[in-house]
Amino acid sequence: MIGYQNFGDAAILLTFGEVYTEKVQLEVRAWAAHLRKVNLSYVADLIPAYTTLTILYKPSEISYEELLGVLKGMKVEPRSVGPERVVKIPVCYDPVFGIDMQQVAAHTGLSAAQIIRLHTEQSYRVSMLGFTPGFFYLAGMDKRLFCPRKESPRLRIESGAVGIAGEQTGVYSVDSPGGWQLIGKTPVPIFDRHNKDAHFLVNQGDVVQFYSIDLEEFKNYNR
Amino acid sequence: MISITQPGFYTLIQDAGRAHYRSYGMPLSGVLDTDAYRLANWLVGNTKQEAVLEITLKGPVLKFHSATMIGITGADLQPLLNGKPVPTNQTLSVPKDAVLQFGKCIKGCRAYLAFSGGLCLPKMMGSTATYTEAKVGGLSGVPLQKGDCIPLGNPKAFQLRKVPSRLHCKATKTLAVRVLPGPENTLFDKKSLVSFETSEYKIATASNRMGYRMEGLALQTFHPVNLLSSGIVPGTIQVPPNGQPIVLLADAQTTGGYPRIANVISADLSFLAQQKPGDCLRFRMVTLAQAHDLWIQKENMFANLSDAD
Repeated sequence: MIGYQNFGDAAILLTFGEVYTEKVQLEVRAWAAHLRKVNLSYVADLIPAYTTLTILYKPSEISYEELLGVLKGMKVEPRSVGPERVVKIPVCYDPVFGIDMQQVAAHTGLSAAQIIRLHTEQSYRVSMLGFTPGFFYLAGMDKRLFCPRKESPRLRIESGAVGIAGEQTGVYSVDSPGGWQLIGKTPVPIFDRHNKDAHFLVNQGDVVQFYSIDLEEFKNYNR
Repeated sequence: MISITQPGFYTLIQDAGRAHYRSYGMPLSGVLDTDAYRLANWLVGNTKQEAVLEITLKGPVLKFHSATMIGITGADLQPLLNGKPVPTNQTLSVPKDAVLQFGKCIKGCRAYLAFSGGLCLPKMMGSTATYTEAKVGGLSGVPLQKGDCIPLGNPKAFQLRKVPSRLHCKATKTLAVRVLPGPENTLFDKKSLVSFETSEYKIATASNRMGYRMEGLALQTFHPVNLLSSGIVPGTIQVPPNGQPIVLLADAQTTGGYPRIANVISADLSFLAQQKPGDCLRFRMVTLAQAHDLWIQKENMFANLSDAD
């Protein structure tokens, strides 16, 4: 059952489930993909999230009731989403970048080598994008790596920094303040303001895999 | 071309923003006062949504290297052209080598300066809007700096125009803002909903283009809520655990996890943009039908403006 709520006077909020599951997620993505494909003139933008899809519309072109009617009449099959994309992201876990590795090790009782192995072994589903441009939320981190945020956030973390926060792991997409425990850094831009064809490295629904590179490979990556 | 002799407090290149990238976590950005933005472009005969300067509280000093037409709308920052006071809300003819500067802010918070023919700037994701958090848009993703130069488009031929006084900046010490209940409105306790609708909230100093942080009676949900992040749209009012609401604006992140108690209606977002830290807001619930009527009234007002010329 899809929940429909008006959200301000220019958006409608679709809710596909109370909790995040792969099935709910697939529905969010399928709906977003379908709406992009049919490209309705009165739809201004979409914000797909964990279990919801915000549809921004133009009230000058369609009323809320009419839009509700259109959406309720839509048949969207969760399987209509294309094949999944696997994005492999190199990460240098050297202490130069993994400045909180010791703290994560102390909290989890694991060695740095074990942390790197567990972090790179897993495939992560991109459950949504948000927070900062191109930033992706990953589901599926190994429970053994769960580690609380830093007591006090850092004022500036460079883009590319790879961190752990609670049950989440991710990569800072732009320079920003942040409280995640940093275990490494990727040389690949997550948000590339200069690449007109691909500003954003990953999309919702992609599968992300990290692989370990050493400091030398990191330095030579973009040469 | 114009050159920036002094940048002012916070002067940004802005336009209507990036409408189609929120799926990727890219905020809308763009001008906060869309009414004043449209009027400024109208004053100088721009038919498209050209880039303008959004000037906050203290204006820049800039020099014109060619003659053109400009229009200044929104906040009244006492503009001076070659040292002489000039009116806002009407087309101004600017000779070559003229210097435009500003005085004290006597009304509102943000002024908009449009140039006939617009600014010639590369677009990123369909827009020139400056989004400083990600260093995107404008000249290099930052506020204007001393020494910056911006190429101007070719001035258009048109009749001189004047904005009717009913459309001038309406900033006031306490603004009544019309809102609709937000998706999590019903999770708030009765007392909080009464407080929200009947008391005054002050705009805190720590406010910016991402959002206005409000200070007033704290708001609480019946039970602690743990929400999964979900969409945010312009005007969304979210309530973090400290109970002090935040009104989210154009640079707000695209998603958030705090309960959304209400949403400012589109027709009132421009009024909101002219309130400054220390000013107050009162929130008043309306219906979706009322919000849409107000929107249509405003659109008609703008449409008639163009026809009258």
